[in-house]
Amino acid sequence: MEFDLREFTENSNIDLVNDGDLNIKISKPYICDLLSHVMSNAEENVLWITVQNNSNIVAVASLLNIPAILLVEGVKINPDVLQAAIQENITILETDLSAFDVLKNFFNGDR
Amino acid sequence: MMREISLHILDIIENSITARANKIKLTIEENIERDYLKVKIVDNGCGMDKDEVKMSTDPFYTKRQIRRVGLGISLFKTSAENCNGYLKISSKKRFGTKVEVFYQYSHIDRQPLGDISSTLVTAILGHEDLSLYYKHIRNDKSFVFDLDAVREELDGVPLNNPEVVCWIKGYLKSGLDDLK
Repeated sequence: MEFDLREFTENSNIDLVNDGDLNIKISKPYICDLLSHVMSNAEENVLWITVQNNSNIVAVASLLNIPAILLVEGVKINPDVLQAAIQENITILETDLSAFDVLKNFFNGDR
Repeated sequence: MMREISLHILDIIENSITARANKIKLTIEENIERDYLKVKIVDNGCGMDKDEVKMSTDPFYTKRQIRRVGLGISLFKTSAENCNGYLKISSKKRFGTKVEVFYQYSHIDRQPLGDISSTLVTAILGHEDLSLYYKHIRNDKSFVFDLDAVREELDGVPLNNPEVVCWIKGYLKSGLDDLK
């Protein structure tokens, strides 16, 4: 399941909005929108997929050592959230696809 | 952004206690006709100055030294804002802090209020000498729980006595049920 973050960002459906450390191995994707649930359940080094769009997501990612957040289904990151992500060196990605489709494509090798 | 609003409330109560408050007043108001849910928590803790108040809703701020990011208030705020609401803090150094949170009652993203009686019992059990006053208003009915009055009635029996805990929980539950 492990994959390179850089390789993932090269997917044509993905927009790289902020690059933190791209030379990192992602252990697996993790999908959840309830932040308190993420705080108690997500592992480090996952790619976190959500539609939440507020600076709390960056705080949670930074707290849990989550290197990258992917906003799905056309959610565009708010400027203040982006600012926090730049500060915390968290990679931010966007896609118009759903979480299911983006992962299905990636793991099928449809880039 | 926690499963239930009651967990956000517990988090704020914990903040108050960390701020050395021994008096906490919690008011919850559900007004279905006017479509709002309001939560107000007032404490007599050490309070915050202007800068600290501003920082308190910043997810990267915390009093705790171990963790660089403190999220409680920030999550509560986002949760309310997601439901056409707001979170407002006013505070005065040495006097205490007031947190007011407003939700659109019927908003589809509003979490359920959750299990308030268990939340309060948790808070009470953790802090023996806490003076807690809780008022719950639902439309035109209201319910009041005054821990000091309970304490007086108990006449020295500790609040963490299992029978007392059971009674408090039941009393809160039936009081809240009567509002429905």
